[in-house]
Amino acid sequence: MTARGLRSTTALALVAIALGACSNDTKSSTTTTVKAGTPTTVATKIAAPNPCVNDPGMTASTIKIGVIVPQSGPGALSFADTLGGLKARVDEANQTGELGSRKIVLDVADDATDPTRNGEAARRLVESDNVFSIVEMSSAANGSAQYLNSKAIPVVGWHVGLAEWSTYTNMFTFRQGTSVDQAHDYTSRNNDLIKTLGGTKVAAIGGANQASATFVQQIVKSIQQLKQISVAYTASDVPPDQTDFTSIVQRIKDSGADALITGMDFLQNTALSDSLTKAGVKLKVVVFPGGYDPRVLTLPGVEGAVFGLEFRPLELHSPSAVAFDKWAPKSVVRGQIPYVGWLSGETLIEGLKESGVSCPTRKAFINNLRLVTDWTADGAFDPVNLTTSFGKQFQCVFYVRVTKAKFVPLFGGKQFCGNPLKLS
Amino acid sequence: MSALLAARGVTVRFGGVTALDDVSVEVGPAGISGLIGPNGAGKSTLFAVLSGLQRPGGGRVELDGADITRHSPQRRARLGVARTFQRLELFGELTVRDHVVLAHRVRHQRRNLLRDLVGLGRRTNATETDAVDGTLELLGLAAIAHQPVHSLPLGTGRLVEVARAVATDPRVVLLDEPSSGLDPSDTARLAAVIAALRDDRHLAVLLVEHDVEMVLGLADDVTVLDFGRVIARGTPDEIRGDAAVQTAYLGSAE
Amino acid sequence: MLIFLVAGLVAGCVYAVAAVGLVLTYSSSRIFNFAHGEIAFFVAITFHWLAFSHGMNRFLAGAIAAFVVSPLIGLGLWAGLFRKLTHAPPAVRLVATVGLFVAIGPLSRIVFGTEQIQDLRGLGPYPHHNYSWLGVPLDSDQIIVLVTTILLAVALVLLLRYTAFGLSVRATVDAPSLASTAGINVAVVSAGSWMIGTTLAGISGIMLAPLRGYLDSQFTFLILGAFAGVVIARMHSLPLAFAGSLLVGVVQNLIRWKPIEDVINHVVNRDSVWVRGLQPSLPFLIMLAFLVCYRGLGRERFVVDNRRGTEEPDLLADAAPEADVAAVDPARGPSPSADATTVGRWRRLARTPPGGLVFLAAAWLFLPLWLHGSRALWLGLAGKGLCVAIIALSYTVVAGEGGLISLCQITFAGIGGLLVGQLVVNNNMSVLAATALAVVIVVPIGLLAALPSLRLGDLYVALATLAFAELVQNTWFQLDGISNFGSGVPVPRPKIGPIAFGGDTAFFRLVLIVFVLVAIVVRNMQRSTTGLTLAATRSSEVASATMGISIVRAKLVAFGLSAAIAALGGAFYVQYARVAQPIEFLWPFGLVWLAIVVTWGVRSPTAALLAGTLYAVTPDVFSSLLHLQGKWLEVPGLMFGLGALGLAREPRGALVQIREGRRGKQRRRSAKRDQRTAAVA
Repeated sequence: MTARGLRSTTALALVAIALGACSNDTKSSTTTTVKAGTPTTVATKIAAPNPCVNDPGMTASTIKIGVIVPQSGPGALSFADTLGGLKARVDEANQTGELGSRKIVLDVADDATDPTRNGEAARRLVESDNVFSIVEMSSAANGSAQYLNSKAIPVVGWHVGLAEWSTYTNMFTFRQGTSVDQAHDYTSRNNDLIKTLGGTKVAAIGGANQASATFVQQIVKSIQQLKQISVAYTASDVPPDQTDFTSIVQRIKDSGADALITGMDFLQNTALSDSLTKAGVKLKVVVFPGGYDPRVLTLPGVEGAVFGLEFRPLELHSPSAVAFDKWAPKSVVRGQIPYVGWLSGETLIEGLKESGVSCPTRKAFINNLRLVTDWTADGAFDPVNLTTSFGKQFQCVFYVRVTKAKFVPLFGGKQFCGNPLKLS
Repeated sequence: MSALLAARGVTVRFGGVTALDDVSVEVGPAGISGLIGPNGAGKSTLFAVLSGLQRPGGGRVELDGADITRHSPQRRARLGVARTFQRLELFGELTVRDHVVLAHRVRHQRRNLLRDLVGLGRRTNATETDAVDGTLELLGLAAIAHQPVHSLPLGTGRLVEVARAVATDPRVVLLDEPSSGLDPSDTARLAAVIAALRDDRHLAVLLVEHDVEMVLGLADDVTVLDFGRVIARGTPDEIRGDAAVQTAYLGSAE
Repeated sequence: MLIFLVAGLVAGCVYAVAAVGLVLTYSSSRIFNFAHGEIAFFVAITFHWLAFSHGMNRFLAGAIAAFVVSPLIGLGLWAGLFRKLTHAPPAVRLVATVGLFVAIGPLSRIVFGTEQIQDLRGLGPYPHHNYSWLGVPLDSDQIIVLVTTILLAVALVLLLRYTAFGLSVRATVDAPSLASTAGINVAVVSAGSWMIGTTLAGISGIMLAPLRGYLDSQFTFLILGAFAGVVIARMHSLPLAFAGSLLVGVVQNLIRWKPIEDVINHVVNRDSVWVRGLQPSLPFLIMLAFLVCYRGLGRERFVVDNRRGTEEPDLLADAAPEADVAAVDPARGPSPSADATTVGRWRRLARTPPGGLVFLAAAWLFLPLWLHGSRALWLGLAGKGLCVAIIALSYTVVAGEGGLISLCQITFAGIGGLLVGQLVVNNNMSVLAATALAVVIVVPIGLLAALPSLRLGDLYVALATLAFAELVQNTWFQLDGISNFGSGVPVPRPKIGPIAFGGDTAFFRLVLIVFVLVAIVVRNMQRSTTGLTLAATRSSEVASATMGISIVRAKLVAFGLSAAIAALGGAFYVQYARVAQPIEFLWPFGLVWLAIVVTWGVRSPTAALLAGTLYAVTPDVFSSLLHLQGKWLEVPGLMFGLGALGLAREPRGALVQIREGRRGKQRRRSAKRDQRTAAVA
């Protein structure tokens, strides 16, 4: 996959965290909103069979789990590190005997952020390697979604803003995905966030690709619709490689904006913020959609910026964060990407447990996990009802602000929620 | 006798250098016209102007009295002007026969891309084969017709160029130093071929040459260029005896 | 307004660094280094690694990276590759640098790992110091770039104009044979100037990384922006390269100035994809505008390329049949073109090497039988390989026959595939009908892409087609309906009446038939009058023109046909993937395909088949057959790029090399036999 694709997908990932992209149906075409046909979920839990009948990938002592993650190509830079977190969670489960007599064995495949290869990897894992279920941590997961659904394979992972995670009930993102009608089902959260932090005139800057531009345009629309604060300047056509923002900074300065929200690449977001500082423009609020990683704390342009997270900041030492820190090797960065891998692993273990540790089955996994009403991933976030939240736009995000080169949780460490907003 | 192809008062300047200065040359409706001159005299430039590869700063090119100065090389080819090149411009991997066939087809066959792609229909016909064979015979190339040209010696290559030029059924052929780099036997063969062009095919030929003797022996009339100007014009005998020509070639006569 | 202007000049200087390097490298070594940015990136991360991961003093690290590593890279590339391509046409050398471009990304990830360098440290102080000039903020990194650029440009001009070496360089470039008779060691001079080129790239990488980030994509895009300056400079004028780059920077920034932006908003809808795509496309629009101006309206220009002699091997030449007269026997399979001139259609068919068709027929029958059950995935991959092979055939037509290095074939494939998606979903067409319609629609688009550069020569064609690819990617590919928020548009497998081609076997067989048909069409074309015409225009434009052949028309035919074939391949590709997504059709993928096709031979449909199959199959061979992980998964990408370096040994491709090797063995064997019989007699 190319640099350009990397841009789009990284932006996509960031988009997801801030607002969650929506599904494919902007036109009236019906074929894109394929609802999950099989498998159907029943209202009650399915018990583990006794005596145990092994599903594919299972033996008395092992469960083979397939993992699809970009390991080559430019996209690897964004996703490969999730493996460290996933492996750490699997290590904990194996070593503490969370799955009874069985240990998890990971079978990792590379999709190079290419949807076609993602589909091929899924086929290989399922048909050749006979894995029990799949963990997907890739922006190209749509390449295999329909196939995996048709085979009733449980899938856990990171939604990265793809609508498939909200369409197929065999797919479980580690918390909650995006809505099904992307163009219209939105949230007031971005508007509310800026307002709460004291911003009144917003500058919204995005890149020239569809994901980033849509992100910005929807924020602008939401602000204009709610009429509580205003949009001072917006640009959604920044070239993907631009790091010199003098002109845009001048326009922001001239517009009198006191808040900035950006949807570009992390490199570009920081460059823009840095340019603003250089030009002496003081903003009350600067919001980045993603990039929570201790290694960025000292970069120019990061100080004072607000980052959105789909999980409780690690600084708050939730049980999940503590376990992550304990089980991840020192080489694994304590940041968003590896932690997402950990959380995906957490979801996997939960699904296996819900289907019955004595004899997990794919059917029970998909059915029972969906019935969980208070999913917190071991305290990583506030309880989520996996049945009612499915297919709906997530409204709540945790925010941290970089203060004196440290991530400081905002709002007392509580999640900040918006309300559903229908964009006209 | 009105000329078939003529340059009238052609001037060409490259930067500060005047390559051609008010040059007029005529190639009669039939017969061989010779063009000689020392190195740098402007012969190649004149050829470029006549064949449409170089636009003159001043003057005209006329074909049958019509002004073709602004015509593209392709258009001139359609009107019957053909040429060869001093530095061989052959189509490396094609065979000798290919060159002749292509030249013939460009002139005589209607383009049909669909037919070419689908491969239907007869590609060759008796007329084409006869014409091509005839040209190959004329140039003595029939024996090696299926050899790719990049493997041919220089002399043969020159003949291929002539064959290609002739195959377009031109009215006038411009030969650019065809004997350059050839040994005496090849030169003689070439001279015979050129004579045959005039006698058998009744073509008008403009022959630019370094080999003065060859031109004087072959041409019906000769023009001499030096430093971009015409310094003499006439029959071979007249040119032989011309003092200005002798000076140009040999320095001041003793 | 001043701020926007000055900001534009500063941004333009960044482009100028790259443009000057490119122009200088080209004018001194006749190599257009498509991998200039990649080399800059590689040296930059080498510097970062030395200075910040290994604690070396950063100036020392910079000096080593710039003056030891960069020239060594240049020397290595010269010795291994470019030395053997000194007489090859610029197009061949361009493709070699394309191979480099493809290879360096994977190489850097193998050597330095996949951990992204987050910081922006460089030679300057960190964090950078901020200054202000004429109200425009400037930081220390930018000042380093500006100052170094000017110094370098001045130093190079002095070098070229006033030193003996510089004189040798200019002489060598203009007339190598004359230069060598004058006592100039042409090889040393060419190597030296190429090494200066890579050193320039390395220096620019070290300087620019703190501004742009340590990501190879940043450098790729920088080079794209610099292409405008290169074109404005007509590949040879340093001042124009500088000025052109400044122009691009200024336009990009002035367009944000409120009065101008308001005018644009007044005229067009700013939220529309087409306007959004304008900003990133500006360098390409400027490039295309200058191409159109330079082309000299109406008159075809002719460059008698001194290197297109009949004795030098050429990327595009067919394998040479036997040279000796005795061995030339029409019955033994002469050069393909001869068939067109002497024999009827059926006799020709009979003479087609039966091996190829038999092999394909066998594959059609037996491959699905062997690859079933758990191996069915490989059959699926074979089908994918055939889709890519069809697209590769489009390279055979445009580059092999037309002699044009087109870098937007994948874009045509993408337009074809994405159109199929749209027609199926929005217009309820059947997949195969949509395919046919998409192919027809793409042809005029292909002609349009070709027009700006056709009269200007190979390198310009490459740049202009790249610009076209970028334009399409920035605009049409970004439409909501096309990219669909990253999910693409679902495409069903084809159906003819009751027969569905959804399974691996059926789809494989269908695409194999399509490939064979297209290969036959390509073969037909190669041997037809059109093929002869293209061979002629490839070899000598002047001779073709004076013969009455329209060069432009010939090239347009090649382009139009190749666009249609590419679109056909793209249509089947999206059917294989069952989804039409623009992300699959970005131009860097196409460069990989070009590199592989050229490696095996760009004149041969067999090479196209090999290229497609290798591309589809190799990554999975590495991961599932060889069970390699992590860094090793980058090796296929590296191999694809390096394969193009095989051009050095045989510019016509590996298939020709193999064939000639076999023929050489045959000849030697028969010669030995003759010797023995002669000795006996």
